[in-house]
Amino acid sequence: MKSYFKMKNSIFIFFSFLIFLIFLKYNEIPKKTFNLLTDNYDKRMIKIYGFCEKDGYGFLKEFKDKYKFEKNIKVINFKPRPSSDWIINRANSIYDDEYIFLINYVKDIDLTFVKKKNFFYNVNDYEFSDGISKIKFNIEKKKINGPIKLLIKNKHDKKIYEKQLDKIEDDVWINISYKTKELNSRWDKFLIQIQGLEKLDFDKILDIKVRLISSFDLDNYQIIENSNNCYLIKK
Amino acid sequence: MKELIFIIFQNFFFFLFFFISPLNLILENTKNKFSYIDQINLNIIFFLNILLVTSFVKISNFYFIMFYFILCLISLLIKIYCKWEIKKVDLSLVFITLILSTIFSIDLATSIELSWDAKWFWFLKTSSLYAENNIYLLKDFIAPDYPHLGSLVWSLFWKYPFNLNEYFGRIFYIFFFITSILSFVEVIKVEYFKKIFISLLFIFLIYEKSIFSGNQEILIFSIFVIILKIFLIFMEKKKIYSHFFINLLLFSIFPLAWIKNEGLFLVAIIIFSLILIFYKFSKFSNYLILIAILILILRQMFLFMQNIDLESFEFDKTLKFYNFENILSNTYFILKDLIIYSLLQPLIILGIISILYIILFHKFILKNEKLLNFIFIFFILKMLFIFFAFHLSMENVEWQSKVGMKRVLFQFSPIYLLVFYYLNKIKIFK
Repeated sequence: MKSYFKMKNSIFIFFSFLIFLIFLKYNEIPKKTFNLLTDNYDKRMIKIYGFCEKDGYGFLKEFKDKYKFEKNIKVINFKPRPSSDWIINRANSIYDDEYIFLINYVKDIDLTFVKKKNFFYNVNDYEFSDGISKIKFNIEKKKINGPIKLLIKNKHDKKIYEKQLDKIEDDVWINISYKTKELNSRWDKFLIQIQGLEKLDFDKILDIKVRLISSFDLDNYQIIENSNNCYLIKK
Repeated sequence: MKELIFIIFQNFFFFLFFFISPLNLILENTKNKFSYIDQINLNIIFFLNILLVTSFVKISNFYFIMFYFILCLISLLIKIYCKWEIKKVDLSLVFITLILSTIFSIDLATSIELSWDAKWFWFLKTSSLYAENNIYLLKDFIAPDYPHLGSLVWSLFWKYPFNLNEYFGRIFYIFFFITSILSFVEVIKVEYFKKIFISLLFIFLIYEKSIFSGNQEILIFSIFVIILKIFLIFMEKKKIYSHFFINLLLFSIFPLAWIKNEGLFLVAIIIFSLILIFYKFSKFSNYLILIAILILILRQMFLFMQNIDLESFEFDKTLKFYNFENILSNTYFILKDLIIYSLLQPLIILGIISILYIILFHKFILKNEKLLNFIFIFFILKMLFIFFAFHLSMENVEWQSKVGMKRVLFQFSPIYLLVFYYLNKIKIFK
């Protein structure tokens, strides 16, 4: 009887060790322990948050330390992820109006709208635009003749922009130059409605690109530091 | 090397010393026997309550930590003076806690990534509190109606004892998670090594890096586990109507409302389930109702005094823009994510399989079993909450359910631990 209990205990000790070892292997704990011993905190952070990609941890940290800014510096990350503010800025501190960090900067911001039933919906989003610069259609044929009415609306059916077009051509930019801040949202969906088209022609439109006017034209700023698509700029 | 040593030190010496007292002076003198791990968990909950209360009166972190440290030291000295029996300490459980906590901390230290919500608002609250700003300044931040207790603990252990990196604050979440599961499994009556095996199994099945990514659900989860453990201790002793249970319940449930807004709903669901089970005992039910009202009033008072609306709920916009034509499609999205994310959580899958087993083979309804009724009432209320919360979500329901469902399910998932307790009780895996 005693030996039976001993054996039973041994089985559970064995299985406890087994799942423990599986866990260590599955989660690469030995490798991670080695990394912890060899890489310092900043190096590990750059591996995760990138130098000049993702949150731009390396770029922000390097130049925040180099210039020893006393105030918070505004951080604009062009990739739709939570602001990179948390990396360098302290809560409840005032912001320096002179300097700005730009992470993942892109000159031409294009919103892409894809077809879903009778409308085109945006699949990406930006927060830093001053308006609409131009529009381009991706069509299965060379051109579609109008008159065509193009409407850009938000999800609550509020009209943001409206334009009458005589024709639309495949892969040709149509100049717009319309100032609006209403397309700056990471949360709201926008839609494009096209009126006055036969169903056959409507089906030929594959997607629509809307180029936005960037709020940060680098020509208007002094570039203090730059690495790939990351900038430290001064007004 | 320095970081690893500090991680080990924080887990081995700091947390164990910090949470070994002071409540055990009271707990050891009661007839209800609380194990060593139970005492650590109840001390953690006591600590959360004290921290919460002192946060309202603008006591600096330094003075708080010194005050608490002295309190622990005095109670430890009293214990030693009263010939504290070291035999009462289950050293193997202490050893398991420390080994697991260190391993999970290493995992955290190398995959430091914060979640979306953590970057968006939790970390900003934490860094403000870390900078010794008081909680009343948090109203100028994103999501001002989100409570602050989780961020406060994070900032405190970030700064003390070592003031190294922010993730040291999150090591507390790991420690609490492990001790809460170990504490719960103690109530399952099996042989010692089987118990350790079950504990490890639960911990490894539930563990994933993302639960320590700065989101607060893990705190809700751990506190809920402790509440269930207390509930079982008193159920077993048939002392559920005692003042001691009601006081312990109030004291454990209170921090829930100050960690996340969903914590308020969890408080309501737990209390409502208890009332429905014990409705025959009107005095007990009255106490529970009083607890719920008290917690709700205190939380609302805090928001009201600072002119903060419950803006995350966005009731006005939700009702204004809710499109009733989408009710069916939204229900479909919620149901789909509910199934998908339930299947992604082993504890929930095992729990549901066990529930089905009980329904099919044990005809639970006929037995009028209070524990099972509690599980089922909780389950129904939880489902109602999930459907209402997501339907009334201001954002796109499909998107909101996709990003939020897993976390909501996780914080309610400890209820399935009760199913395993029940299986043990009816001698399924004895």
